Amino acid sequence: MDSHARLERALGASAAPRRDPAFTVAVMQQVEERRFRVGAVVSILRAGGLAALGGIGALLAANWAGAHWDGVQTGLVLAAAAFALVGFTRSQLRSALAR
Amino acid sequence: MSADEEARLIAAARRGDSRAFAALVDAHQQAVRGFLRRFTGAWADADDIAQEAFVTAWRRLDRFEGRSTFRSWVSGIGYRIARDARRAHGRALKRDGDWAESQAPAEQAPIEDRMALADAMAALPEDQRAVVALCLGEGFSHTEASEILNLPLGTVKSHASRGRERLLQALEAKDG
Repeated sequence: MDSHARLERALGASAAPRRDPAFTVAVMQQVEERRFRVGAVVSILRAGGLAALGGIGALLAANWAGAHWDGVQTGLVLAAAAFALVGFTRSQLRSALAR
Repeated sequence: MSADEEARLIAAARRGDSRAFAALVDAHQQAVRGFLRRFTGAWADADDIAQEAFVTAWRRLDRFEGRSTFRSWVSGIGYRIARDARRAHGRALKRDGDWAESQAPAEQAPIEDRMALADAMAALPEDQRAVVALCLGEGFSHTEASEILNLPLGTVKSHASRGRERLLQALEAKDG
């Protein structure tokens, strides 16, 4: 065998297999792990952002309520009255239907 | 795999279809791993780097512009990872001798030739070894090697020719 043919064969010894499902599976496992990690980080950031927005909203509402306490009291009384009225009406309707 | 089929799989993988990406990995792993095995001289390291290259390719799929083939693009990613790993450690990747194990086809070259070739490959300058691994080892064209390694086409041709000569000399020297 001449040197060129020997070189070709020696180079061919390092060839990877034509099909290697184990390698493909290993790559896809890493891909899925990375995708899961990215998804988890995005979810955490999203939840953290929503919680921060909620907290800021609650603080602003508390601040506003402190500055407009009279209005808030009136609102609460009106809301309580509305709930009481609705509750009373519903109970009357129920008892009328039951008869 | 035809160019159309490859383009279809790449488009599907970009939309998040992991089966399409798995098909791309399956089709191109041989070329990428073969190149990296010859370039690093260490099969286990090369396969790890090839895995990392494919995972990086998945992450950066949006940046693939289709100016080169998919296998060239991934080989380029693998080459840069391997090169950076060598430089970061300040040493050549450890040659683990895996090449001598029985994963290669039965009609393989005599072990003396493979050892002489491995030594000669390790002695080649980095760029030249990469060109030899791509063009002589995996049958990449000179143009593809030029794109992967970011080297002028003339330099690639010269590296391929000189690299081949040096490997032939190494085989002949072993006989003498």
